[in-house]
Amino acid sequence: MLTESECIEVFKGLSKIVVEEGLGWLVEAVTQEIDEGIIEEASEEDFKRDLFESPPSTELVIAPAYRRSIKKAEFLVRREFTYGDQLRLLVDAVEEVVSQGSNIEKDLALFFNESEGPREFEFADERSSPRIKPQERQFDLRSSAVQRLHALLQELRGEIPK
Amino acid sequence: VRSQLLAEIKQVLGNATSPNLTSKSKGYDLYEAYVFSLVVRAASRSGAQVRYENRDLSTATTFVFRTSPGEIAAGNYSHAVLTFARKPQLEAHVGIYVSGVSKIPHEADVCVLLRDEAVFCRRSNVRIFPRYSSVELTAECKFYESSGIGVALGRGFMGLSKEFASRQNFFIMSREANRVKALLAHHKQHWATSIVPGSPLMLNRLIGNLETVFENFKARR
Repeated sequence: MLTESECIEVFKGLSKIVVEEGLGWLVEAVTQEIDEGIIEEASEEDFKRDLFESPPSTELVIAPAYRRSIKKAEFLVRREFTYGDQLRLLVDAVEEVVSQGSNIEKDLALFFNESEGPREFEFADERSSPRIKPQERQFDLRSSAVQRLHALLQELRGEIPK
Repeated sequence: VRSQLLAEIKQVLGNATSPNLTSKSKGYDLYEAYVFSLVVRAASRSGAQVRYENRDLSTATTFVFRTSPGEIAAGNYSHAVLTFARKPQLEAHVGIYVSGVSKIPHEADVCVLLRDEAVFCRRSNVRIFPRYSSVELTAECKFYESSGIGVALGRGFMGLSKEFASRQNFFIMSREANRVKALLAHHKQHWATSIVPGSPLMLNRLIGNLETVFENFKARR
């Protein structure tokens, strides 16, 4: 199992690889998600132990009537991801995006094949950048690479503490 | 062992990644094309005859998707022509600008509109924006967004929906997003999450909702 500091190191190492392979936007999206934390609903009961046992100032004493009024109330709270969860988020994101990209390409090829219309499709910009033309013969190669990636990421996932 | 594992991941990742994911569009182009295919599938299930043509009206032998939004008359991109018996023809496009209620052009990631309006807008040297009143359906497509960003985009989508007046506008995401769903459901907007190949339940629900739009179009016209 990875320790907390190893989770941080592996997160950095994997981020670097993902950026080098042209998926820097994905690392940014995961970092954004980590910064946002986990937003969930909780009642006072759920976070009672985190409240000050004795308020640091008399100004923070809560009126009993207010206390009663929030007994069943649900608050929105934010929790930080652990370092293990952060690494798991990145691993899941890489797998999700790469495998979905491959599946969508194949699905589009199938869609056009079934349509009795165009046999090929491509992506173009009239102002700049080269055209991207997915080739059916690449799909099988891509699929086996996705499967291999899945196995490797699964192995890495097994090292992350729950 | 861990550095060995990372080295292997590095070796495999490049071959596993579609070029669309590493382009500046961050996979959005691919996802919009996918949603376009779902809209066309729904039209087809509703009984539409589908054919594909380019802006110059030639038959599309290679379907060319836009990678940046543009005017309907710009570039020789492809679109689908949807024909329902005894009804006005429709066209389905990816990434075109539509003029909204406030007379401001807005991008529609996927857009189904009256063919007459599309033909009129393409017929001039002036780049004319189709009007929202000619639109039957639009879809805002979001591929892998963090949930917080998704909420911001959901808010933006509600503004866009107002701009397209009472047209059928769908917010479609590749990920599950409970907060966005809560926001859009509260404001009675059309939404669909987890829309990716291999999610039959969600896909069937979305295609069913899209079919309803076409069925309503047939009943109205």
